[in-house]
Amino acid sequence: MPTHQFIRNCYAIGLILLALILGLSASQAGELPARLNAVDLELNSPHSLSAEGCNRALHFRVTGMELRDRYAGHAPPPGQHWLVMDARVENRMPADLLFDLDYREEILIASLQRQLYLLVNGKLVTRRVLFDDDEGAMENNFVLGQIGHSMGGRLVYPVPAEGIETLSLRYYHDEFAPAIVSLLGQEGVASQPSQIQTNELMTIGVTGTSFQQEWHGQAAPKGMEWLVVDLRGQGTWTIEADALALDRSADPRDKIELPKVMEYVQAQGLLTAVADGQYAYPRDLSLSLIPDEPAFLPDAFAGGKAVFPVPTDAETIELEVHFPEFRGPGITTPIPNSMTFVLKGGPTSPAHSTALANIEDEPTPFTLHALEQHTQFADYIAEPDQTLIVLDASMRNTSPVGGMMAISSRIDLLTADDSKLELLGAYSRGSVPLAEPFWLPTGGALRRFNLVYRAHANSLPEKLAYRGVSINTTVPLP
Amino acid sequence: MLYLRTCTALLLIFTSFQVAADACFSDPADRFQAAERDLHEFYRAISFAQDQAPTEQFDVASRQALIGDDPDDLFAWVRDHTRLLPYQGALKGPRGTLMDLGGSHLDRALLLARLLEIAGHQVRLAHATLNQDAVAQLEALPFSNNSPSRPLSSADKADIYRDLARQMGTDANTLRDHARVQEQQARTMREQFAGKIERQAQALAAQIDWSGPDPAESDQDRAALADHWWVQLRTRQGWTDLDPSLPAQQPGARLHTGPFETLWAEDLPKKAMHVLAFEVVAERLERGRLRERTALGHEVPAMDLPDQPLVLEVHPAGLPGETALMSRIDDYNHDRISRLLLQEDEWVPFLVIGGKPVVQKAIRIDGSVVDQVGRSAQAELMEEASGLLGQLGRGRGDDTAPTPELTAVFLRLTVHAPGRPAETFERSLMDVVGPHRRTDRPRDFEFSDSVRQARALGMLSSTEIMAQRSWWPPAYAVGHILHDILANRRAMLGAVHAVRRDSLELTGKAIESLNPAPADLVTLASLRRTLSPYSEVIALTRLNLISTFERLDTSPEGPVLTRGFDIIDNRVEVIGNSGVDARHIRLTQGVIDTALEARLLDTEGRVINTSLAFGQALDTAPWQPLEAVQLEALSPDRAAYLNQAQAAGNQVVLPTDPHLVEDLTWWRVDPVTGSTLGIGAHGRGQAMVEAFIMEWKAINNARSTASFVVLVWQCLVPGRPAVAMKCCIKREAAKVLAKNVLSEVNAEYLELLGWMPDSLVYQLALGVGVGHFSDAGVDRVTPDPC
Repeated sequence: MPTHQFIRNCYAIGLILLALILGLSASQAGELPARLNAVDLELNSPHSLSAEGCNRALHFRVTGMELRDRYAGHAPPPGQHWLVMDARVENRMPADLLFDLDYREEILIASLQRQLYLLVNGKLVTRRVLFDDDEGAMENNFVLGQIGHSMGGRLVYPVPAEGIETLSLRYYHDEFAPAIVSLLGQEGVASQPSQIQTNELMTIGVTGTSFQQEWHGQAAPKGMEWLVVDLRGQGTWTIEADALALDRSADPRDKIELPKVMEYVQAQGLLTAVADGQYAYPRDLSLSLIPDEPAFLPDAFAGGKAVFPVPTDAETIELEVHFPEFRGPGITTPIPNSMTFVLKGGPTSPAHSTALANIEDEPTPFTLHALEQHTQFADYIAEPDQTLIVLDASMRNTSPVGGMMAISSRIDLLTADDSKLELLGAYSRGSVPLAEPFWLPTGGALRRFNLVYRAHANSLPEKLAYRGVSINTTVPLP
Repeated sequence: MLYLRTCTALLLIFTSFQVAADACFSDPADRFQAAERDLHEFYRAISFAQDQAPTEQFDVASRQALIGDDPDDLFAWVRDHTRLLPYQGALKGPRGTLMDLGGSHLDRALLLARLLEIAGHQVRLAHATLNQDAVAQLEALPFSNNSPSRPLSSADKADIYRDLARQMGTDANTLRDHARVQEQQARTMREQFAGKIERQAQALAAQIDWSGPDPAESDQDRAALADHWWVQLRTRQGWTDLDPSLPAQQPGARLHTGPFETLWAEDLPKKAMHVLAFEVVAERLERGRLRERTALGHEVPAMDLPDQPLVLEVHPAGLPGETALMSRIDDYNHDRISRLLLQEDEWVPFLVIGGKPVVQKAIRIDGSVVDQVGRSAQAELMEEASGLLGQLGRGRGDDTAPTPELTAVFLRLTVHAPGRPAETFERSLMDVVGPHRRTDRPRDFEFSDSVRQARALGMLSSTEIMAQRSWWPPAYAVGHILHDILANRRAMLGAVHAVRRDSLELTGKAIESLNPAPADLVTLASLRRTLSPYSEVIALTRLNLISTFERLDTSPEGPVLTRGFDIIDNRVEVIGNSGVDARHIRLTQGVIDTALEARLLDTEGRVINTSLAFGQALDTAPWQPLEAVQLEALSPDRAAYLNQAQAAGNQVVLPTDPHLVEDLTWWRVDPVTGSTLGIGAHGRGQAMVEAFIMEWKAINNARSTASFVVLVWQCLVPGRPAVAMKCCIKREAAKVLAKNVLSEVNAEYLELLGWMPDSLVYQLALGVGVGHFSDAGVDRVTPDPC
C-alpha cells in the first residue's frame, strides 16, 4: 500500500525524469542568469542563477548566491561579509581517460578548502569557511564514485563588505585543468604590482601599501599603526600530468606540465613586516583579508590585503617573505629563496647596537643590548614596591636553515639567591606582544625583542640564565 | 501503438540530449564528444533521480533509522504496519516483508528481528504451534489496509515542484504545466488498459466450468496461521516477548500460552524456508532409451535470492569471448564462425545468482556430463578456440558402438515451501525430440545433419528468471532500472570511445562489460500488481517465477532468434473481502500478466501472445473450451501440451480451429482457484517474438553469447570486402550496445513510470505526438564508425 510520502517520492522521481525528457536543465531554464551583475549583489538578498564551470572530469554548478552578515550564527570578520552559495559538483570522467589511460572512474575531492577558491575582483583569493554546525554545507572531502554522481550543498566564503565587482569560483586539481565558475561580472586584467619577486614556487608582488591608525573600526595599538599591504601572488610550480586529461585532442602518450596552486603554508609566522631591520611583526589575522595561509593561484595574480601592526616611529619597514622547506621533483634547493619588499625607507642594515653581553650559542647567538627598570611597560604597571625589568635582546641565525624560535622559555633572570623573576611577557618594539615562536631567518639578520619581568625593588636580578641550542649558561648582569 | 510510443519516447530523450546540454559542453569538438556529452547529461539525471528514492520502503536499515532505536517503537511499527499473510515459513525475508508490508508469522518476526538488530538489540526467534482458539482469534482479525493511499493535493505538488526545481536548477512553473497535461493523459491510458483487461477476463470466465473450493487449501491456511513465530528481546530482566500477531498486543505478551522453542535467526532450519532448487539436466538417446544426467544442481532459500534475475546460460566451450573475437576478427570468416557454432561438441551451463556464477559440469554432444577442467567459453583465448576447430568430434568414443546423442537439455525449477508439497516446473533449453516422441517410441527418433544443426543452435540459449517473493513498489522497480542504466554506463561510453578510436578490441571490451539490465522482468514484476483492479487484496504467498528467454531455432529461411517472456508460476493469494469472487480475481491477474507480456514485447516486432490473439478473436471467432474443439489435425506435440495441461486439472480455452493457427496460443485456467495463464507454442506461459537473423531487427540484446555471435556472423557475408565486414561489425556492435543500454531500458522505465501514481513521463511520450523514429537517436549516441 503506498503511503503518502511514498507517492510524493514517486511523483518527484517522475518529475525528474520528465525534466530530463524536456531538457529542463539549469541552462535551459532561461530565466536564470548564468552570472549576476554587481549591482544585484545586496546584503541578505538571495539570488538564483545558473553558473557553470568545468574541466574534463568535473562539472561545477552554482544555483544560488547570497551575501549575508551572519551565517549559522557566525559573524564575518571585520570589514567582510559571508558569500553563501548553493553549489553542486558532478563526476564527468571522460571516456578517453577511462579507456585509453585506465583512469579510475571515481574522483576523490580531497579538500574543497584547499582546492576550491573564490577569486574576488580578480585580485583577492579567499578560502572556504566550514562551520561545525552547518548541516547544509557541502562535504569538504568526498568521493564521486561514478559518472553522474554529484555532491551538493552550501559553500561559504568571506568577501570584502564593499567593492565587489567580479566573483569567480575556481577549482584546482593535480590531474586536470582548472574549472572556473564565473559568478559575477566580467573579470578583467588585474593591475600589475609595483614590486615583484620570484622563486621556484611562486611569484609574489606588492601592489599597494598604506599606513592606517584605524582599520575596519579597530584602532592600532599604542605607539603602533596598521601597515596594510595589498599582496598578490601566483603559483609557478608545475607537476607532470597526462596531456589527455587537459586536452581531449592530445596524444594519450603525451605529458604536460600542469601549474599548481601554491599554498603559502605556515605563512602566519613566515610573512612578517620588519621594522628597522630588527623587529618582526606577523599579520593581524583577524583584520587581514588574505587567508592565514594564502593560496596563490596558477592562473591569476591575486592575493589580498595583509594587515600588520608596525611601530609608528619606524624609519624603515620591509615585508619579509620566508618559506619553509619544500621538497618536490626537480627542486634544487629545498628551501625556496626568501623575498624582501621595501615598503618604507630604504633597504635596512641594522644600526650597530651596544652589547652588554653576548652568548655565543650556535647557530643562534644571543645578545643582550640593554637592561632597564621601568614603572610601566605596555599594559603593566609596577606596584609601589616593585619595578619592571625590561630586557632588550636579540638573536641571530647563522645556520643555512631558518627556523621557528621561542625565546621567553629560554631565559630566566635570577636574583642573588637564585630566585627567578616573574616573566610578564615578551614584546617586539612597541606594545605588541611578541608572537612566539617567531621565524628566525637565515643569513644572520637580527630579531630583536623585549622581555618584561616583575622584580621587587630591593631584590633586583643579578644573573641571566640561558638555555640555548648548544649552550646552557648563566652570565652575570652588568 | 506501444512501438510508436517507444519511438516517440526515444526521440524525445535524444532530442532532449541536444537541448539539455549545459554550457560547459555546449560546443563539442566532434560527434563523439557530442555523444559522450549526451550520455553524461543522461547519467547525471539518472543519478539525481536515484537519490530521490524512498529507501525506507524497501531498505530495512532506512526504515529502522526512520523509526528509531526504541524496541517498543520498532515492535509497534511491525505490529501496526504489516499484516499477517496465510503461508508458512520464511518466503520474503525482512526486506520482502517490508516491501509487501505483510508476511507470514516467521517473515514478520524476521523483519522485526532485523530492525531490532540494526538498532543494536539482541534478539532471538521463538516458535510454537498455536491451538485452535488462538488460530480462531487470528482468523477473526479484520482485514487491514495498512497504509491507505491518498492522492497528492495541489499544495503537495506545489511543494514538490518548488523543491525539485530548486535542486535541479530548473523552472517550477514549466514543470507544473507539463505535469498537468500529462496527468490527464495518464488517467486515460490506465482506463483504456483496465477496460481491455476487464473485457477479456469476463469473456474468459464465461468459458470456465468452475469447480467448488478445495477444502485442502483452507487446511493449509489454518496450518499457516498456527505455525507461530515471534521475537524475543534480551533485556536486563531476561527475554521479553515481542509478538505482533494481534493488533492490541503489547511487549511482554504473546499469543501462544504453552511451551515453545527458541533459536537464533541465523540458525533457522531449511525446513522453515521456502527454497528454490535449480537443476540442469542433459537427456541423451542411448541404445534406444532416453536417459538423463544432471549437469548443474543448486538451491537457494527464497529470502536469500537477490532481486536481480538469475541468469542461466549455455555456452559453447569452443567459442572465444567477445574481446578475443573482436580483436582477431581478421582470422574469421562466415564459414569459420558457422563451424564454431554448428560443430560444437561441448557446452557449459552456468547459473549466475547475484553476480556469482555457479558452474559444475559440461554437457557433451553425446549427452554425457563431464567435469570442467578450467575451460570457460568467456575466458577462452582465441588461440585455444582456433585450435579446437580442428578437433571436432573429439570424445565420441568407440566408433563401432552405437553413439549416444544429446537430445535435450532441461531446466527444472523445484519450489520447496513449508506445509506444501514440492512443485517442479520444467523448461526445455534445447529439445530435438519433442514431448510427443518422448513418450511414444523414442527409440525410433533418428538424427540427421539438420537435427544436429538444430541442436547446436538450440544449445545457444539464455534464460533470466525472476523469483518474485514480494510485490515490487514502483519506486523500487524504477530504482532497479535506473541502477541498471548506470551499471552499464561504462559499456555505453566504451562503445562510443571504441568507435572514436576505431578499435574493434575496445568494442569487444565494451560488449563484454555489459551487465544484465532486465528492465522487462523488473517492469513486469512491478506492473502486474500496479495494474490490477484488485491490488489491495492480492498477495504473494508463494514464489512467483517469471522469466525471459533467448534462443536460436532453425527455420526454412535460416536461423531464427527467439526471445520472449515465460511466466512459469503466477499464482497469487486473495486476502480480505473485496466482494468479488477470489477465482475471478485470480483469473483477472492471469489476464493482466499475459497482456503485460505482450505490451512489453510490443516494440520488437510481431508478438505471439495469448492475450493478443484472444482479444483479436473476441468479436470474430471467440475461443472455446478444449472439449468443444477438434484436435485431430493438430501436430502431436501441440496436442501433447494441451493434454498435459488438461490432465493436470486445468481447463483450456483456445481458438475454435487450432490447427489453422500458425502460432497457437491458449488459456490455462485452474477451475478450483481461478489461477490463469496464457500459454504459448511450446507449452510455456510465454509471449515471444521472432526475427530472422539476417534482418537483425529484433536482436537488441547482445548479452548472450548467441546473439553476440550472430552479430558478428551477419557481417561476415561471403565475398564482402574485409573493410566492409569490419565496418559492419563496428556499426552493429555499437547499435547493439546503444539499444541494449539505452533504448530498451529507457522504454521500459517510461512504461513503468506511466503506471506509477501520478506519473507523468509515460504520458508525455504519448502526448507530444508520434514521431518517425529510425534509429536516429541511437545513431547520435553511437556515431557511425565508417
